[in-house]
Amino acid sequence: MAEEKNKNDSLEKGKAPRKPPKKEEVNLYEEIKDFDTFTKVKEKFADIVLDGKRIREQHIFYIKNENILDFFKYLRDEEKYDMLADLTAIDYPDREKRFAILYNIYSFKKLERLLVRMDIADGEEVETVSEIWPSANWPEREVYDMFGIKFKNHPDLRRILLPEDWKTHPLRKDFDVKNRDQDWMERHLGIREDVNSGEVK
Amino acid sequence: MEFLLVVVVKIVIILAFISLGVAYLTYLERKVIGHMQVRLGPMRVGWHGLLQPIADGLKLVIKEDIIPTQSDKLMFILAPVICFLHAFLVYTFIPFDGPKGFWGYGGYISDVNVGLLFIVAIASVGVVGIILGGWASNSKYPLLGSLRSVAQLVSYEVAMGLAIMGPILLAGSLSMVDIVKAQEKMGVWFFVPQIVAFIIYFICGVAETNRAPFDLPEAESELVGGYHTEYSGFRFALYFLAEYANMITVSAIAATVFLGGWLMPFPSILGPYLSFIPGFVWFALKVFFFLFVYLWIRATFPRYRFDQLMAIGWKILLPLAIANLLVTSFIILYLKM
Amino acid sequence: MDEVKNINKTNFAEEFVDATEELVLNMGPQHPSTHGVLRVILKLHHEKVVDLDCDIGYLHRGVEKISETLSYKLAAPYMDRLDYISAVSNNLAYIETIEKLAGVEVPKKAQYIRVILTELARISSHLLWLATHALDIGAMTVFLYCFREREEILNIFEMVTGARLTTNAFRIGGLPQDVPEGFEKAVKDFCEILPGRISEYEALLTKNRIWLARTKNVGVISPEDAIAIGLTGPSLRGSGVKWDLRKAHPYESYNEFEFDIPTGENGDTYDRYLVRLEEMRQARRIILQAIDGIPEGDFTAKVPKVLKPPKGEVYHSIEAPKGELGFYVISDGSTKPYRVKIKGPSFYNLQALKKMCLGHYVADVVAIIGTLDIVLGEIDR
Repeated sequence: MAEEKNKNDSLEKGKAPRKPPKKEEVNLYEEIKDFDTFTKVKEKFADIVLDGKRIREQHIFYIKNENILDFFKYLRDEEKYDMLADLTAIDYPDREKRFAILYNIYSFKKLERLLVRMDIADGEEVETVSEIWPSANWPEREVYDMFGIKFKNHPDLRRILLPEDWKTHPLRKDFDVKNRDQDWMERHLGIREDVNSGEVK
Repeated sequence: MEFLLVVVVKIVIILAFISLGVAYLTYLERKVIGHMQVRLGPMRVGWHGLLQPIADGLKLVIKEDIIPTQSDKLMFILAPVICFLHAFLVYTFIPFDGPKGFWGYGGYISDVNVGLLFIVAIASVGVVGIILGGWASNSKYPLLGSLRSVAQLVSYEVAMGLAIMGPILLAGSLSMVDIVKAQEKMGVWFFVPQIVAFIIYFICGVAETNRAPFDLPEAESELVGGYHTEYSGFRFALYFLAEYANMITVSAIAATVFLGGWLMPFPSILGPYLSFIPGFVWFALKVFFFLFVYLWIRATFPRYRFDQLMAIGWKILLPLAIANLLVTSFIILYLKM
Repeated sequence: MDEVKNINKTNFAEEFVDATEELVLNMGPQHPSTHGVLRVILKLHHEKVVDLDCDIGYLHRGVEKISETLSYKLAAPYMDRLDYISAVSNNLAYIETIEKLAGVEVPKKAQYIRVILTELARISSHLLWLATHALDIGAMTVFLYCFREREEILNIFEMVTGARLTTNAFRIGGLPQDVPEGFEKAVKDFCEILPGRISEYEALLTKNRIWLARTKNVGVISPEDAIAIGLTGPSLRGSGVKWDLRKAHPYESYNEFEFDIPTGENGDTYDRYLVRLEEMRQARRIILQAIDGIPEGDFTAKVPKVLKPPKGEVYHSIEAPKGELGFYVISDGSTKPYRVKIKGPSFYNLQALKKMCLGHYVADVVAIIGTLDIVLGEIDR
């Protein structure tokens, strides 16, 4: 019990407003220079590609949630980004467009990695890329599981890590140990916690 | 009256001997494989773990007896008994020593003129216990395991039966004692003229007893435990004992039919020096040799896949056994003419 | 009378075929050879797999969420618990990502020792893989032989870090302390015995008829499919794709060492077996080069006690024993990461299971799970 309580306390501390850093901010983001793919993509998909940045020798493209399938197909077929190495989401509860989806694609031909970031609003659906890269199947399920972002035309959109009848989406920033699915726990484990003290009934 | 008494005493002796042998075969297995795998095997219970089998047996007996609620209870209880019973029944006809052995009383419980046939027949009834056990558990892994074992045992029994036809032709008898006597008369053990049959028999024997590399019915990495997944406690022990008893049976038949049973090797050279050793010691040594090969194989080989196993049985062993049988019969015919 | 007529009409053979159903077999989460708590739901026709579905998440601990609530340094031990079989590699991947984000330069000496330890971890992970893979296929002696050698590696880990399994071997900026005396000798002794021991395993398996029958043409995956499904590491190289992050994007000091990337040809279980065996030899080669060339100097860089990386995001990946292990870390300038995403190789490798298993037997499913070399701690996170 005591441990649980400590955990809760530390979580509360974690939520406390962070002090602004005193030192001068180092800006890691640089403008993209001499990156062939970026110039091409910027021309061809001018309405989708918003921006491109470079951080620690890593290129990031920022795109809009429009016709992304064409864009990704182009990247795979013409620019030879043939593997989707990772797909994940980030939650920014304060922003207008709450979530960002991050595609991490890799080209074996060029030995080059590319991050593609796309902001979407809460409840907005995203076209699945599992047609283009089959490896996106599970990561998209994971994003659905953890963030509640739905993917259009996904072949098998179910929860993957959590039980199928679980309610919450734990990687959202507003999720806390305290508001985990108590009903589920009562149904399957026969326990119910007191959210404040952490005591199990 | 005396006849009855002799038989009863013999039954008790052989039963005790076999039970102890089975128990210590598990110890032997663990020790031999342990040393092959650069570890020691059981060391705690008794000197070098010698009491380990007894401790294991005790543990299994006093364990809680679990019968799954969804199982077919009667069959569930019956199945291991069938398996166990037939594994031990076979020893009635196995000659541990010659007719003059056991201090003149005859080194076997009974010698009938269809001995070998009877042994093979009885041994295959044991598979009913496996099927029933797997089916009565009403669970998927045991079911798959028992289905596998049916297919496996049935297909290997054919090749095995045909393989032992060779020695039977040479001996001209189905009686186990007569087969050994024929080897004595011929001056050479049957594994020399019947080397093909000998190899086929032993491979089939390994498959018949569900041992590695043919241990598919109980492949623990695929089917958890195969047909005995749901069994525990003493019922599991019955299956376990039956399997090891079957190993001894197969080895004993191999020793009798192919390696001259209780006969001494090279009687013309060694005869004068070693004639004081009773026949059953030679027999036990031969059986031990086969058992050791069993364990050796288990420590060395991976497991076959089910379809590969069937392919070996039907496509390689069976034609070979038939060919061996035909060649043997033609040679015998030619010699007789 | 009607019944008799009906019986005569019915085609029994046809009815029998219709009556056979697919058997749904639930493999795991408690099963001897699903390597942890993986649950595979198999649909079988006789013993052939017609469909399968993986159910994962039994080991989900929320490592990503936990790391959001901890400072950068405190989260490191959690990463050891992802792929607990090669904890050192996990630790390295996380630490390097943070170093990249914060712009920390690691001294050469620390880099060399990191290379030695991660390569040892690679050997130990491959040994464990070989042990369990062989046991799944039924060769139980190899299992114990492999554990004998793994024990030696764990002894070295214990010597350096004090722990054997979850070692937490590195710190941001370098190492927690210098390596103890006798480290070099222990590593060299191990490298001395390793080749002989690998040939022992090979003697038992490589030309064994049963092993060949069980692994050749089992779980074949073409290089195109392997890339599409996201396979990395030895599983990808077994299909003939010559790609290794140590060569493609050298981290630490891997560009200073000579080693080869073994690849397979057919992309079957046997090729992946050969690739991993050769990788052990190559890892030994790297270790020998590194141990002779450990430079003098500090074992750690100066890192502030409270680490506050600048705002930004970084993805960094290393070649873990099982494939590309990457961390994506977003910093908002505070002491805690805003988001940590773990790209575990096993998660992506396991996706290939369905493709590789369809049409094979149940026994092959076990072999294929083994050859993918998955660890559930990393899949479920």
